[in-house]
Amino acid sequence: MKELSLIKNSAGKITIITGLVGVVIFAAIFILNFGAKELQKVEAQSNIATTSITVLNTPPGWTVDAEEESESSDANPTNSGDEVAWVATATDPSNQPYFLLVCDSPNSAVPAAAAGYGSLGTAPPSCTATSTQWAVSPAATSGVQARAATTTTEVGDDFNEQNTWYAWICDDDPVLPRCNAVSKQGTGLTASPFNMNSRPVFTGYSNDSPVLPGSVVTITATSSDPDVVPAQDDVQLFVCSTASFNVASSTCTATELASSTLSASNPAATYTITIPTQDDDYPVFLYIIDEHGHAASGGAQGGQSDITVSNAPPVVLSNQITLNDGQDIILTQDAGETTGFQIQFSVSDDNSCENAASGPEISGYELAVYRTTVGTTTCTPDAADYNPNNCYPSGLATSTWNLSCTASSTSCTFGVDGIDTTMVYDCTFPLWYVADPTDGSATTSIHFATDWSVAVRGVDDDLATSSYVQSNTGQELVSFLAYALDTFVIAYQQLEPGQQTDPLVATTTFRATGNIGLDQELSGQAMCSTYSGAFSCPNSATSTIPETEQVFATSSVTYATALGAGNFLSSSTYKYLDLNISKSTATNTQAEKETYWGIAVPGTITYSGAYTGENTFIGAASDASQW
Amino acid sequence: MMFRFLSVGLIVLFSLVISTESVFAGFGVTPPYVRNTSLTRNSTYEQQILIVRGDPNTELKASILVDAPGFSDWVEVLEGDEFILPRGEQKVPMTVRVKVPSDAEFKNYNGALRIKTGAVDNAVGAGAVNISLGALIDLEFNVIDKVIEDFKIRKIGISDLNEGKKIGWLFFPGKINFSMMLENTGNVDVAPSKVAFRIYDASGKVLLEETKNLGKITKVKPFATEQVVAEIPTRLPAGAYMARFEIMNHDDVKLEGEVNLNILPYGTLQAAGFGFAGLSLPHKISVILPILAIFVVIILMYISRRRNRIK
Repeated sequence: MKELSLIKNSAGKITIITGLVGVVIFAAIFILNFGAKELQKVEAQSNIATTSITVLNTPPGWTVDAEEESESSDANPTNSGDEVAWVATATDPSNQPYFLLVCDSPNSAVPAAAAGYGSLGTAPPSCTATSTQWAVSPAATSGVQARAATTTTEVGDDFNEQNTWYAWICDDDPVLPRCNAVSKQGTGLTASPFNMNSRPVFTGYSNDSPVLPGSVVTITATSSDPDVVPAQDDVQLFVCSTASFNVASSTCTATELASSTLSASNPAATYTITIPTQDDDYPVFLYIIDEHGHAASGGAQGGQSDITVSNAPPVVLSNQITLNDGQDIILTQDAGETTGFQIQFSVSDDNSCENAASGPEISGYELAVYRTTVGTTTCTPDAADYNPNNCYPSGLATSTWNLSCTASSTSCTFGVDGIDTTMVYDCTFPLWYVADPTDGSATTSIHFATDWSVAVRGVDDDLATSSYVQSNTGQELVSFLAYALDTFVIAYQQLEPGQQTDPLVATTTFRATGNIGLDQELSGQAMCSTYSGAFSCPNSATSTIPETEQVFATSSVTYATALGAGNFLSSSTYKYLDLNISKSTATNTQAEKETYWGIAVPGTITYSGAYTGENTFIGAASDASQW
Repeated sequence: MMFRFLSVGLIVLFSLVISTESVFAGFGVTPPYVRNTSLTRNSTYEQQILIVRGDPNTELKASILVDAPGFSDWVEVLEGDEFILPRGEQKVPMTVRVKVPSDAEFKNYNGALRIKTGAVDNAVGAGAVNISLGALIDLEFNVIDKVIEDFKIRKIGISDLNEGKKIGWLFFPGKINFSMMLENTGNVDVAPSKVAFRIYDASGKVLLEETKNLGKITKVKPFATEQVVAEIPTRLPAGAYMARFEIMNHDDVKLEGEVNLNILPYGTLQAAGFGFAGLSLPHKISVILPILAIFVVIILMYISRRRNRIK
């Protein structure tokens, strides 16, 4: 104002000086009579009035209307902390620089005057004290685009969610700075107002673990967004494998394990725990962004949530249990245990085959080998179910049943590949000679319609167990015809020629040392002093006792009865004796029966001395109904 | 003394007494039969029988007596009618071969085969009733005029495999080696007609791939039991899976079930994958076509040269 008053005071002096100079010039022209015509005109005019004029500064004019440099709208708000910018182009009649001013209300621009013409462009305009100044540009050359910008802060600080703006163009003329009387608000998507997007608020989180591998864990964030224009902003949860989040791209820096859909509040992300995953705690890191990709800051942002993967029970598949390598089970040890039978089975675990401590996750097993029709209910791994005929449980002491299993050292490769779920066990076991045969047919075997199986239950390092699973394919246990003939003597009575044993009292004992019932076939050679395996006895009434003189029976019948039944020895025909020895069922004693023998010494025998002969005992399977 | 002789001394001095030695003799055979109910004319069937001794501390001679009315000339013991049971051998195998002649009647044949043991030199104890032991082996055959193409799977096996690999534009799938212990229960050569896999995620809920064996599976001869392998391609990446399989004999499912399947990252195992045979049809064509084109060009050039020479 001081400068303006100075200008006004000096203006009168200048006018007087200017008038005097004009008079001098007029006189000179008049005296010298320069251009009489024209001067006459001047004279005439000067006769009307004397004019004084002050040429005022004019404001810059709009060349290109102001608008937001980038759309800031409901749909595309400007995130808090980001810059809002406006651009416009103006032309100043005096070719002076100009400013672009953005205020929040109309009629709010206040121009400022530069200190002098030499410092034009240094006095930016401002908004009135009652209005908010959003931004003012640096001085721009007339005709060149000006850009005004401001960096937003959170709602409630200086910005509302939606902010009206008015743009002005002003110069800073030292004498009369001016703003264009017309403000602009842009058009279309880049028009006023500009929208500011606040950060979502993230205060807490939780998850519903413990969960099993293969299950879905839900991670829930306590979060919402303060923005409500034109509607409540949605928020989204990201679950990252590491504590790092790329805000610019709204992605986890490492692995994104899960993300939620957009929701108005408390978003929840679900994540399927892969199989296998060791039972352990797994940290995940949580990040919230709003629907415009604006990330939360502070609070629970980046917080660690531990997902607890629980222990899964092991699994045994029936097809991955093999009894005796797919071969028939053949007993070969009479009255004893045949060793070396095999079991192979796999136990898998969704926690992998290796635990978090790099030890075995699958730590053990329980099993039983049994005749299939006995079933898994009757034959459990419990030692109490033991029956050497049909059930061999692993709960037995090894002194009773020497089952030996080892985990294959090469079957679990989790430490190498990170995916192995399986542990393979190789076992050997013995079976007693009484184990029920399952081959044959209805007449030759009681259990012909079934076979032998093994059922396995896996155990893990937390002592969780699998189902008790029976092998999918059973194996036949083959009939084992075995016997022992352990009679010390056939104690015939003392006889003279012409005498016979009557009734039959001499016996031989036949024990069933295999797994089937037995009968006998018998044959014999005539006796004489010269018999050998290669040479038979001569046909002599005085020195040869024919084989037919020896008779046999299953009980102490009379000689005549045995003879009448045809139970006399023959050298050419095997005579079948239905001994009907039961199948042995105990491991320490065998079923047995005696064969009763008798002999008649022909009255014609005169040779006195040692007689040599040979009887043959042929073991034969008895009818299954007699077992 | 061992079991071979139960010596029963028999001395006739106008009175008869029995002498003798104490013996606990054990003897057995397994199985005590040779059976086949699906023989055809000209077929051959072999079965092994184990001869078992409780106390094999002496060498013995086994004599075979075939009692097979009407078909004795079909039955042969490969070890011969007499063979040695060596000392110290608790079990000795014996193979019975049955060769059905071309003119055999279609019917059941029943007989027996007796094994009798004795001293190798036929020596017997003088002045005693020597006792030899033996066993009866039933023979039961049925010759039929019918082709039976059947089998039983006694065991399956599946091992870990490498995932497939892409070379250029060609993807060579991983190879599942699915082994099967197959018992031919019919009377002609047989193999599974198809082995199909449906591979699920480890939980068994999501079906990821359906695949079947490529190429033919080796056939097993009648009455034999052998291990055969089906090679099955998979394009799944490394991971743990659950597979449901079906072993087919034409329209019959002979065995089905579930197995765990571990596919390891490529190169983890020193195991060969699929070669050209494992490529998909488009990939095969993409390899064959250029080769064919080169051949065609060569042939055309050859023809063109010949024509020029003739001119």
